[in-house]
Amino acid sequence: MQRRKAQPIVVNKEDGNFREALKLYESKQYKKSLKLTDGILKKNSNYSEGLALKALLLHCLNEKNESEIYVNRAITKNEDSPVGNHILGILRRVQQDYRGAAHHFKKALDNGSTNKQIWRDLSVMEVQNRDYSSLAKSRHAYLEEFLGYRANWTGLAVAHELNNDFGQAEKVLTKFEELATDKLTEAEMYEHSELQLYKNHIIAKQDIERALKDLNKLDTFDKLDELELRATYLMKLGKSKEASKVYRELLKRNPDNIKYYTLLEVSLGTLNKSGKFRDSLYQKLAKFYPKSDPPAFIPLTFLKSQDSLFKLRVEEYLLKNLKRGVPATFTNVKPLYKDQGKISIIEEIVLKFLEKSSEISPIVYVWTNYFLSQHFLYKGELSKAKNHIDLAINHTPTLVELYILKARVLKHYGEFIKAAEVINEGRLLDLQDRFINSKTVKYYLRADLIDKAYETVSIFTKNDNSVNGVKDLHLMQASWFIIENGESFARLSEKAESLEESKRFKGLALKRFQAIVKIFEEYYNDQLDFHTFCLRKGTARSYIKTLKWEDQIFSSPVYMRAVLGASKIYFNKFDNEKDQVVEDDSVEVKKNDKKAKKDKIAKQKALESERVKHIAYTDDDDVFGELLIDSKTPLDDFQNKFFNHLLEQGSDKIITNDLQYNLQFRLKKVALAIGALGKLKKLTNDQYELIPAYVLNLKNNCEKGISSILAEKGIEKNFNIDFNKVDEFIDKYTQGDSIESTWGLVELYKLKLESIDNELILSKIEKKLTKLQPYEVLLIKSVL
Amino acid sequence: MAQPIALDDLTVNNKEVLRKINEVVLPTRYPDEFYSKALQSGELVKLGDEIPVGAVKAKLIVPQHHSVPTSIYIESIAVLEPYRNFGIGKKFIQHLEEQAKISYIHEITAHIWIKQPEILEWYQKQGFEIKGEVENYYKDQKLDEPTAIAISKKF
Repeated sequence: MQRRKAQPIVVNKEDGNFREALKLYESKQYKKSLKLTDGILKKNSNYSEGLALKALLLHCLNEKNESEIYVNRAITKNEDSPVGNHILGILRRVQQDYRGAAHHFKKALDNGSTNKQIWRDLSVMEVQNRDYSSLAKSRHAYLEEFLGYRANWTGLAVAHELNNDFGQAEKVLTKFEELATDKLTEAEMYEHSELQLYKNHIIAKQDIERALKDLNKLDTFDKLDELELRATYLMKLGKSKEASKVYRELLKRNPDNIKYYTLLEVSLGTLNKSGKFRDSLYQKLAKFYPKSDPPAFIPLTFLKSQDSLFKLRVEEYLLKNLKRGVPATFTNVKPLYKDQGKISIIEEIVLKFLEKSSEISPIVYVWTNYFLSQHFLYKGELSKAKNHIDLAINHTPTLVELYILKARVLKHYGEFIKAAEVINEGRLLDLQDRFINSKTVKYYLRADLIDKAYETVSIFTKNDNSVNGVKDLHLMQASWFIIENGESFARLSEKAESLEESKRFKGLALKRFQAIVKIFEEYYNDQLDFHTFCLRKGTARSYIKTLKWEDQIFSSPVYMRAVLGASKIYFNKFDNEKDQVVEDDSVEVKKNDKKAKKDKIAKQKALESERVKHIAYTDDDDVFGELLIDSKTPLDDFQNKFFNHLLEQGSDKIITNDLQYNLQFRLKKVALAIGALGKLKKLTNDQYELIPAYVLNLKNNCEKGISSILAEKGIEKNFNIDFNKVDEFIDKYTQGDSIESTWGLVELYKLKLESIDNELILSKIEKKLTKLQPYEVLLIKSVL
Repeated sequence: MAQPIALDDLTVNNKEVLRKINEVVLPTRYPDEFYSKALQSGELVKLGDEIPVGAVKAKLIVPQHHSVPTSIYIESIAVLEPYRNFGIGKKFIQHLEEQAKISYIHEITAHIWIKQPEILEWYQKQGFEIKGEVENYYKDQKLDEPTAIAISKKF
């Protein structure tokens, strides 16, 4: 009885200590805090808040496994504790498990937590999780508690917008404006200006007419945006004449923005007029803006190559640029190269100009050859491309740009090592040029000369405590380097002399691909701070843009390359191991003991110096990616570590569905594989070159029974095939001379199906090879 | 090339340009040491122009029993073929003269290969005069006729 009576006092004392421990946590004195917490728990091992805090502290002290044990204990003792849930929410947030964090924060509030700041923490988690309907509720609850801050009003408005409730968003913004009338200080004017435009954008989502009226009343700092919005609204309201006036005003502000010219034409309704008519419009504009490129260039895009006016204009344009020795002349006219007719006219003009170019000045001769080399490279006429760049280099061997182009030409020849040597020669001429340094590194990696690449890239990196810049490049998120490095390792694994070496390169490749995933996950997680920061600064418009950008980062090209690279290794591993019993190679060591021991030591030494070279992170205990390549579940790993992000954000990409097919086929989920094929068909307008290979694979290689029936039905539903005329079906998708169509046949050939004529396929491939570029031929041959 | 010719310093970052130009233009080969020491030549080594198409390297000559230099000797001078007659070489000579005058030196000297009369002509246009022939001067370079002409410009 006595003890029970005394309990509240003890608890109170414990509460005091607990508060003290929390304070210590906040000032990052984890060890001291843990000591205090342990003291509390010794007296009362049921103290769930204490258990939660201990879990958090253990995590911060890097005792990850221990930490989870205490999480479970805390929940078992009292899963509804508001303070306990708050602490667990913080723990999950630190662990970047934002869904878990939201769950605990919500629970803390539901169970009557008096700490109203949790509403803010919760709303940050909800926007991170894109849980917009809950977000609006949380932002609302938080605003109710703290009405005096504009950021909270903005936060609620943004939440409504994200939840597609524009009316509510507008109401919130208007309400604050009313409350704040005449109370804003000078320092708050920028925020006010931003939010006025934000509100205008919200109005436009509902009613353009009203948005235009609102805009006319505004006087913000962002004049450019005001003008652009006004023009857009006027266009949408059909007042194109007024819009054209605004576009002319925009052109006056920035006559180099190509977009304004097109929009001006849209507003003037001239896009359908004759070439001659439109040309005269641009002649006038060119008089106004003689130094701007667009009025001179745009006519070249719409004039037809048969039109004599095109020849006249393109000649004017090319000669003006070439005579001034503009290095980027080719880049400027490249958009015209979609039109064969235009290409030959350009070729004729520039070849003629080359003859007299050196009379103007020697450097004009050089840049003209530089142009022609790029021109022929584009056309795939490699020997001409090489000839012109050689002329330029022999003429002026001190110009760095020329070596970059020559290396590119050699790369197309498939001469990767020579290409790297040439670009390095250029690099030596200007060691402080970081661009050519990076390019050289890329070429070394393409040539699989890893050591050279590391050595060269390290000239510009911070190499404290490491033998090269690899670690720094990971820290700096230099994804261009990491992806090239990974792809190079993947190639090396194919070329490796022993299985052991091959496996090591595969591990390293996966390690790099994994590093890309990590970088993109960091990009995604880095939003976290902006959910509060942007609202405080009032930059709601840019904030929304950032969120939309984050919603598709996992479909960026670099990320897709990492997934693709990883897929090849994981799929290959799965295919090789599925029929095999894992060999036990420990038996052989005993033979010839001494020699084996010696060899082993030498090997280990060599391995150690390799290890030091490839270190990507501080305290990395898996430099070679052995944990990745030794996976017992390659398909699951591929899905969870690489593919799911892409599937989530890039489901409408061709590559996503291609991988989805390949993955699901291996997982024996025929329905999903068929689904992916259907999507590929839709995305490519039924032109995807790999469809024959995939369809026939499904038809022939599914397990007998339900799988094969499903496959038959799916194929029948999606594709119109007469299996007696399979060749027609194959030809439909693999016509033309592109590398893609060749791939389509190669993948088919690799299946070695009995039901098709493989010799015929092979002869078709070989015929296509004669039309491809040398490096493409190498690529195909390496997998045949 | 209407703009005045700009001379550029040789630095650790562009030192390979000197080698490139010399190797492309000159019949003689220089040892690596020549290039590795080039960075210490200060104002006596220069590249020209905006895009480097020419290079000069010279040194001070201190005769025996003298404590101060009495002449500047041109070790290498070269302009890429297409960029000649634009005044880049002339600019190099002018620059060396200015450097000479700062140090109270009144002579620039050089050797040229006997088989390159057009080079001699160019030097003469810059105010150089023949001092005499030096036999076997280019013996180590394995040129088919190893005789050099010694030339000098006094001012």
